[in-house]
Parts: sequence; C-alpha cells; structure tokens
Amino acid sequence: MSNKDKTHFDKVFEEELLPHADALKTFAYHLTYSDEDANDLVQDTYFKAYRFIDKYEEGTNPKAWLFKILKNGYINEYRKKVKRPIKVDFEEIVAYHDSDDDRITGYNDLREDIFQYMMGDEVTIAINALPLDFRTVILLCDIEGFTYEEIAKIIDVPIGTVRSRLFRARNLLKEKLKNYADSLGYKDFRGELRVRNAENRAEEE
Amino acid sequence: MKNEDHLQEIRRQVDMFFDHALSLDDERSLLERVQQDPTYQRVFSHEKTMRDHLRNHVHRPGVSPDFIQSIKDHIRMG
Repeated sequence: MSNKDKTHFDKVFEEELLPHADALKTFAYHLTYSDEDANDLVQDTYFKAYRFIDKYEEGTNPKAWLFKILKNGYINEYRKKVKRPIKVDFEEIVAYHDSDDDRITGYNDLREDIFQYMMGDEVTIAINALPLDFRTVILLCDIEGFTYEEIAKIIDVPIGTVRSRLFRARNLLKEKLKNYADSLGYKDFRGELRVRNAENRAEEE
Repeated sequence: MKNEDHLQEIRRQVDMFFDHALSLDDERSLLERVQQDPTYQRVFSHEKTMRDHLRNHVHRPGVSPDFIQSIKDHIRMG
C-alpha cells in the first residue's frame, strides 16, 4: 500500500467504518454474552476490515459490510476459539427445516399493557435466550433496522428465509416475554373476561 | 377470508410496515386502514409498542473512546 493509498484508506476507515463501533459492540455482546469477548470480536472485525479495505466500495453500506465480517468472524473463529459447543435446540432445528417455508401458522399475541410490568432487563434476557439464528435476525432487523435484503446478505440466506426466521423469532420472543410477565404474577385475563361478560349478558337477558 | 387468516394478513402487513418492506403506496394504504379500522389499529399499536420496548430496553454496551483510540493506533502502526 502506497503512502497516498494509506492516507486515503485511513480516512475512509475513520469516517465511514469507525462510527459503527457501538452498533457492532451491541451485536457482538448479544452473540457472545460477554463484554470482554464482544470487545475482542469488534476489534478483530475492524482489523479485518482494514486489511481488506480495498474491497470495500466507498459510500455503499459500511455498516452491513462490517456486520457481515463480524458475523463470519463469530461463526468461523470465535466459537472455535472458545470451544463453546454449538447448542442445538428444537426451535433451531425447526428453523432450518422450515427455513424457506412462507406458510405462516399461528401468531403469538402479547398484550400491550404487559410492558408496564417490565423494567427492561427482561428484553436482553429474552433476546439472549433465543437460538443463535433467531437472535441474529432480531438484532439485525428490530434493533439495528437492517432491511430484509441487507440481512439476507449479512447472514447469507435467501430473503424468504429471513422473513420466516423473523416471524418465528418474534413469536418465540413474545412467548419468552409473556412467560417473564407470568412469573411476575401478571395474568392474561382476556379469556376469563370474555366468559364473565357473556355470563353477565346472559343474566341480564 | 376466515377471521384468523384475515388477522394474520393484517399482522403480516404491519410487520412489513415496521420492517420498511412495503412500497410507499402500500404504506400509505396501511396507515389509512389503521385510521379507519379498529382491528388494524389494535394490531398496529400492539406491534409498535413491542418494537419500541425492544429498541429502548435492549442492553447496548457501547465502546469507550480508549477502545476506539487503540484501534486507530493499531491501524496507524500497521
């Protein structure tokens, strides 16, 4: 790399890539569950980004490019390094088998006022409890605001898979938040209220 | 369309609205329906609350200025 190139690339790196460090850290933290490991992952991501900066097309989508590098780094290197066994659970298996299935059945309903009972930590706990593939799409779409197309490129799957994975992830997340609210003593009385109202109407008639 | 299918279709449209996956015309048409139809209104408001809660309460650790500086130093040395 010539001095002129280096000066140019340093400028691109600082102006276009470094501003996404906080977003990358949030993503890394929810993948690794550790502040220290998240810092290592973000640092490695930036070192790799700089090494391959000539491949980056200026003014395109630096955030998506960095997220793809981070996600690949996490899958290919980080999980091997920490020798963390890959946890496969039922939802993850379903996600793979039904990954292109657009036939959507069932939809979890989470009552709005349930959020009055939540302080905030439970969101992080619920997201972190999701299987990796589901956690990833929720973080990319609902937290970082990437489009389906961008997510498809970041995680290397078809757009249909992104959509169906998001649907299942949101359902599972709502279920976890509802379980949390239940554990706090919140009960969903909608069914009981409907029965009670019907009984009241019957008595009045 | 059965009631459950209809509700599911509303939810699908609302999801796509918040995911910025609708065309401008479809967005406008959805917002009009939200104004007029209580079912649309309920699903829309419900999803908005959920998304706002997620975005506002997820843990975002962030990086320190020292961390950024150490990356810059490494790059400059390399």
